[in-house]
Amino acid sequence: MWKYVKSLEYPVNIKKKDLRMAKYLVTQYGGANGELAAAFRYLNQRYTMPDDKGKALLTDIGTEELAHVEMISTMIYQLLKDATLKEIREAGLDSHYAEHGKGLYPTDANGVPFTVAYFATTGDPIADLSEDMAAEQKARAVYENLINLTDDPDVIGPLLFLRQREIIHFTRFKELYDEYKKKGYK
Amino acid sequence: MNNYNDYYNYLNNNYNDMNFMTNPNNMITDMNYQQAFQNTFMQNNPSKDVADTFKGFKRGNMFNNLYSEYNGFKPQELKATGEREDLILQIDEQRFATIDLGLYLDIYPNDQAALNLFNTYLNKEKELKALYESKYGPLTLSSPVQTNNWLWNDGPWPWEVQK
Repeated sequence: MWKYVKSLEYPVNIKKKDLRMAKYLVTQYGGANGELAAAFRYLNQRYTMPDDKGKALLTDIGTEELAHVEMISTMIYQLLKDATLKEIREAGLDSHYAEHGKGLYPTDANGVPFTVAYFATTGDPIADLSEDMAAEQKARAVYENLINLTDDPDVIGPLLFLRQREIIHFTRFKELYDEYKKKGYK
Repeated sequence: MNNYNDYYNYLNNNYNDMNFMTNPNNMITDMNYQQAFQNTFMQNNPSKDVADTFKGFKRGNMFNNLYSEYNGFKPQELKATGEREDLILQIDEQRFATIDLGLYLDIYPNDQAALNLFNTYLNKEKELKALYESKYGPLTLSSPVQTNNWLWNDGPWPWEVQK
């Protein structure tokens, strides 16, 4: 089971609304390389990991990704919450507003809704870990693109933190992958 | 020292001061602990050496050799806006260290030095959490809070800008 802790993994305090940034950032919520996809990809793959080490790592990284979903959601909420209707229209978020108001909804930056295809599970540990390593690198690249799209230090700070986490997760997945290869998994 | 901003300044001013390192009253006694274990840790540890919790938390990475800066961006300085958030940051910091060391230990479960560090940070987090909860209410639904009132609902919730 999971237990909720009433604090973010890392602080998010964005004082300045920025609707365009909210529109881009949402991809790390509901996009193919986003945190929601990552969380459930790992939590879904962990059942068929071949040993306790793999079960532990995928459980723990999957759990941390849930905390990243909360951080990204918080960023989108704070960037959006003081927006006027005029600003919503100007940022091209009027179609989002029509369906969801100022509520959160997991899509990519183009508005394509989240899909379970992002879970990408084969049941083969080598294939699944390769997927996970690629996913972490793609998420790192997207975080760098997002950092380039803003000059608000309140937004950049948490994005830098999240980018480092992708690097750590990639490393741990790779270490597990290398160990499984050594053990003879194809 | 209970103030995160003071703590930051204190750390900056005293980083290279040996007296600071051996003073049992300072907030980061775990740094001493960490140094004591660093040699064994490095022998067993392909990740070389770990940062102190302050640095590790700020930049999102406890492992010095895995840290890679992007495009000259430096990690943000975390400044609390009040006493409550101050304590939250101290808790977050210790918890982050256990999260990152935890992932390491998943892969290297026999690294005793890393396990000792993990336990140090876990205990510190527990102490800080108890202090926070005695002042500001429960952080989890199962936190022991000595009161007849239902405090769980009380904000601010984590996604609200902290004041």
